[in-house]
Amino acid sequence: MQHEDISFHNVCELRPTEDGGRLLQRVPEAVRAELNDGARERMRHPAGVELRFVPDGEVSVTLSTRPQRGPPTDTVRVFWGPFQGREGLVHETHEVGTEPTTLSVTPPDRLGDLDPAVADDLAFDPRVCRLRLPGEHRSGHVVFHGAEGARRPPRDDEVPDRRYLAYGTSITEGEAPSAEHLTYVNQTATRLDADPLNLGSCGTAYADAAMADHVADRGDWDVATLALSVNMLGTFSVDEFRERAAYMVDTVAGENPGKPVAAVTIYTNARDVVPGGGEECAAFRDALRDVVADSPHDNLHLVEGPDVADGVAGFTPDLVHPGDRAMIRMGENLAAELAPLLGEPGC
Amino acid sequence: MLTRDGLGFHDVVELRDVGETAGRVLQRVPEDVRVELNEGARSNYRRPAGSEIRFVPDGPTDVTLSAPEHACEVRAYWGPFPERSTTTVGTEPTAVTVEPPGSLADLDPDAAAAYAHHPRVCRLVMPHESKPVHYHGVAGGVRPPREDELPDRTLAAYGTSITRGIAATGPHLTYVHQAARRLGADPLNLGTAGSAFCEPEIADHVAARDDWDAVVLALSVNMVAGFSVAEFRERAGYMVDTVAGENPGKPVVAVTLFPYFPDLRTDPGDHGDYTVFREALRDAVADCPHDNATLVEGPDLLPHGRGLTTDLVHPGDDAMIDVGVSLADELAGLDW
Repeated sequence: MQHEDISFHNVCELRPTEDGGRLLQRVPEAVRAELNDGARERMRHPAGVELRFVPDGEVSVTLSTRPQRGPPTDTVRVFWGPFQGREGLVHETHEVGTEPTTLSVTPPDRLGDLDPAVADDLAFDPRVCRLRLPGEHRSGHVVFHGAEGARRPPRDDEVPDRRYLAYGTSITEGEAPSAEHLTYVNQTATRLDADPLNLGSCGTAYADAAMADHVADRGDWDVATLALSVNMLGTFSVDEFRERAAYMVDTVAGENPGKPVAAVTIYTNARDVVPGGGEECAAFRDALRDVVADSPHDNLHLVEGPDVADGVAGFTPDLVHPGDRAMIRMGENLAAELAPLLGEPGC
Repeated sequence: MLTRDGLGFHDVVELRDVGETAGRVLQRVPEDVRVELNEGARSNYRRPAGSEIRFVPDGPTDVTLSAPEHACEVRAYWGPFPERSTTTVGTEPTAVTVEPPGSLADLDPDAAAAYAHHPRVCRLVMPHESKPVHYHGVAGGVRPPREDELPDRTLAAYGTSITRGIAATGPHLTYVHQAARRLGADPLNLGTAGSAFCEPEIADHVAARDDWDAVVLALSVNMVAGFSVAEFRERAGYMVDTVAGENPGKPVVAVTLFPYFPDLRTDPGDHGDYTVFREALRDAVADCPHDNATLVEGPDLLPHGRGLTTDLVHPGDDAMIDVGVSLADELAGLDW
């Protein structure tokens, strides 16, 4: 959505706050209110959220964070199109605290004279400043307080013309990578020249009907993955899981004919690699396979989570959450699964 | 691998008492090589770049380190599994405390043994962009890793700050690491920021080492503005010939300049003659009599420069990943 000549990517609502700011939400309030308690809170963590604009000179943006269970400040990373911002000998980053914090950006000199043939081949135009907010437990809830300086929102031809939406658990929201651009969602999108929309919901991906309806109705994505759902192991029966998963995949696929929708079985995790834990996990994977097989929608596809997370190397020692190495591999593998569904030979 | 006090030191060939602290600085080349190099390289090789302290602990263990010039972050891995948090090593000696995670105790033994690094091996991964790190001592029962607990081959790389990986977010994200892990290899990083001048002494050193199975020589944007193309041709030719000649059967991959600002901008600035450096390296490899020397074009490893940082020289994370993937593909096709 757009506000004050800034494109708020992966933001569906800017909710007014008591201090005159705007709280960033990944789903509209009407949807958020219908989700499970935990997911309501998660949809205010800005995973995959970017503030995008094309500055004409210096632009300053004022943000604050409301820490939850994470760090007291949020690290905002600056990218210019596909280029990772660097100032002097360090990355271009800004720390946003609980008090409104103003950060300033200026277009890098080196990008001012790019060969047009180079710029034309890039999915993101390098003129587009991207303030990439942290998600998961790297962030709190972020409030926008305003911006100064000449700017305009990016034009459609300055951002990828394809959008990839991902729903899932903390693995999808990106719990353990070093930074936002290293989530599997971002890594997949980069390989597909797509813009990612991250609806990962840490610990709370219960395939709520309201989320299913929302994803089905948004109309702003071209390919979607629904990673269902290690959060429901031990929380829901297999039958309840099957029912919710079926509603979600059938609704999303049914209302978006012609757009590939991939249901992803539970990613490889500790239950797969230590003795005695695999039966329930296998039952949930079987249930999702059955759901896809029984679906009448031919744009619905099954992707096996263990083909995407091909082993637990690179996971943190909990053997559930992928670190950078595993996220990168997942991005490679998932992009290779999705490319043929998008009519491409592979990547 | 250098060992001391029951610890293995990877990508460290000397622990040198330099009188600054009660500890010993981790050094990536031997002192008799280091002193022959240019000033920048002398400094660089006393800074870690992918260096690790490796050991198998039998319980809680403290490894004491210091970073006298600037604090830095050290992360423990258990084989391929990274701990979530890092330990800040300060300017004064700091104990890095590790304990084998209980969550890994039940891993299937065959699966555990199949990882390139066995999960019982603790790897304290030093930062890649930092100032010197000093080793002070260890408290706890430890032994060095056995050979069968480590990758059975090693990928070495010599080059500039790009090879050292200074703009990656973490040491595991450099292109050398990215390529190595795709190949099941241990990375050995001899990158030297701003100072990869291909001196004969570093060429002789790389040639004489017996601890790598394939090597990348990324030569060398550091020489574009400071050396004539004839000087570059001579030094690069000597390096390629010497390293390949003394290591028959081991791939020696010379990589021309990675794409950078003169490739991407309409005005190349003071790097106007940069393409002749690529040509010179092509000639050096073509003229090399050793068939284990091969050429890879840097621009083929990173089309369009996507993922570079905004200085348009140093790869950011996405570019490091792309270079690592492409380089691994090149190396996978070679016999090693």
